[in-house]
Amino acid sequence: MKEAGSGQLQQIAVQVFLEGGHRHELVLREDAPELASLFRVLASRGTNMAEPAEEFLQLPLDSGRSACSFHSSQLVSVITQPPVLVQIELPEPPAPQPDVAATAAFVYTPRHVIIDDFLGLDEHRDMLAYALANQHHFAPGTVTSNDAHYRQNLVIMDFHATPHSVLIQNRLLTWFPYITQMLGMELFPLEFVESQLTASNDGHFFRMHADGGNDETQQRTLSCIYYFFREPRPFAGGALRLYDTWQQGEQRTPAASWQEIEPVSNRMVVFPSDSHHELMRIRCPSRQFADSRFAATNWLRRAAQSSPQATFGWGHMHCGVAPADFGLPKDQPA
Amino acid sequence: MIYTVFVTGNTEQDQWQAELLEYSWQNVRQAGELVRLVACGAGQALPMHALARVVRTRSWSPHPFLFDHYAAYNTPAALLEWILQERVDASLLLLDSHNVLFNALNEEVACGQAVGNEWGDMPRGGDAPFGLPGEYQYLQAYCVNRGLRLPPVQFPLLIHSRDLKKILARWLELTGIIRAQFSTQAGRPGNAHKLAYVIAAAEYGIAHQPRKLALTPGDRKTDSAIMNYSQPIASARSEIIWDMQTYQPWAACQPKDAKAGAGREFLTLLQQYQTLRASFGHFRMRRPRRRMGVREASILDNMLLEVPSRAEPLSLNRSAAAIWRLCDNQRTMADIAEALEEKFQVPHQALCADVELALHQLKIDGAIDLEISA
Repeated sequence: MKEAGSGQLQQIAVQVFLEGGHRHELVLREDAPELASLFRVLASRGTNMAEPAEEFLQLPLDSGRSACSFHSSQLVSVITQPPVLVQIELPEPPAPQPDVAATAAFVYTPRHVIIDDFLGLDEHRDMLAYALANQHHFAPGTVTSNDAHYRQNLVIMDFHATPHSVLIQNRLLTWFPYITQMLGMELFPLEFVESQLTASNDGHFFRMHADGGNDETQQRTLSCIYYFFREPRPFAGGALRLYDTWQQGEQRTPAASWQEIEPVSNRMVVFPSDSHHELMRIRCPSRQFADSRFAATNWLRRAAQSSPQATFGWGHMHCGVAPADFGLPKDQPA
Repeated sequence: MIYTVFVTGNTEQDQWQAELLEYSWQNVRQAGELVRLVACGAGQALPMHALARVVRTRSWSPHPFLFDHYAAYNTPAALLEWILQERVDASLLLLDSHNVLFNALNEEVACGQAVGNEWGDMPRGGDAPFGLPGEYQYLQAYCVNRGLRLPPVQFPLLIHSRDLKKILARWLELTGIIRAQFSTQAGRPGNAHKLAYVIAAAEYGIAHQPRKLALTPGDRKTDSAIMNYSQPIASARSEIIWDMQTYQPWAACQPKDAKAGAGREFLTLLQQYQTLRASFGHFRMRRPRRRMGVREASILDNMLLEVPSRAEPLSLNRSAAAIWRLCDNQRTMADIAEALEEKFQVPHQALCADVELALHQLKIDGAIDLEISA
């Protein structure tokens, strides 16, 4: 910073104007750091740089017998006599950063819906009677890797062919618009409702997995588990552990945090099929089949194309097409 | 806490019925909140009420999966949506839109103690499931326990929201099942929703006590709390003098011509409200009260309100700002209209409609409440 037209250091008469109309006069040497601070604060305004950190400034008044202190944001203007040529080197604006949003990782908790008292009293009892009467149809559950350390429970794979499955399905489809609303999803056309019936007894478990992991299952969109068992509950454990999800770009992996949903008889739990979840190990002291934790797991599979003629449930429901004007009311976001 | 709830569409008939119900609710000083669930599309403007809270719900007519046009789907569908959205946990007085209150019914009910209006002509006396006539034989395929005894009840109902929540989806499902048995719209039963309700209630074990909750126009006594005016009102000589189906709001009616009893009582109420409405009398009874926490600021000529329940500040135009300034918790709607009429030197009652509209909007936006002045 140099005085215009001179090579010697001089005394500069300075008038400082602050917010609120305050004015202070002082004399500073040309090379005084306070003078440099005043001009730096003024020069840094109006640039495209991020707002500079606010400074605390202190100027000597009355030959150093008093001082004026203020924040840099209060500085309005500076008049100098003689005029001062300002040549301040401002820091370079930061180089543009790569779009970190696409690669940033974050954790989210999958939404889920719990519907208690899902079936009527006798319907619920009838489900239990069905499971007990069909004990011989249950077979050990498997996973695609055939790893027995991954899943241990019993299952009826083609449960969806039975009237008991249709009973659940028709009720579930009545709930379907409400479930999508609560999950913050648009209603989607269905291709098929797939259903399995499982029985989990002492020592049974199903380690962490997602339901839509391969070509055959990728159209599973919502997983809907209906629990039923004898009461009082003859087993311990057996909770559904729903893992939070780490998302980085398109990649989703289970996080180390979770929430557990207790199995309650006559309860339906619905969550997105791509959420990682786990059946926690069950302890059933009696080891009797009738004391198992039964669950009818239904997957609502999204159709790639609408199919208005396809029927679901008892045969009345045309869920192969999602009505266009049946979305969320605009003033009631999910 | 008791909610008085009714479900409507968004037609002119729905509106006059809702206004009349609101007036009767206010008249008898029914406790709790009055809620109107309006089943309509997202693009439609919601109707406005001074006292009732208006909640938009999705329209289930036509049914999204059955494609069946039947307005009664909206009753269970709207109630389910509302209970889920607002997590309602309280006693509910469920009314039809063609009901008015003659007396307050501030009876809170516990879970398992629902009360329903007697359904005297409920179908029965056959070998079909639930003892229904033979035409309902098809229910055998859709109901597990066909021997249940159905409670002979219908709307209006007093029920706890937890009980109602249990049966709503089944009520909606069964309504569709009953309607779907008939291939033509004309053949589909108009009482499907009523029958579906009692079957769902029985299946979920929700006991109902039948009681005479609602009067009909022919009843001589008027001691019940609710009046159902869906049937025509006759004179002493049995001539129909008033019919809901043909009534044009707010045409004059002649209560003295009606046979003594509930019908005449209803027409008297209707006439009172017509008179009040014609003279903007309802204006004198409603006093806007600024809500706690609402702060105002002026930027140039714009007035902004910071309302705690809103994320964004509310920007008022000059007319709305003038009305807001007069909302001092003392003036009634009529006082505000008169003050503005005097200021702008316009004829008496010229600004009533505008003031009413602006105040209803401020109520919807959460800036004021409209209370009843003594």
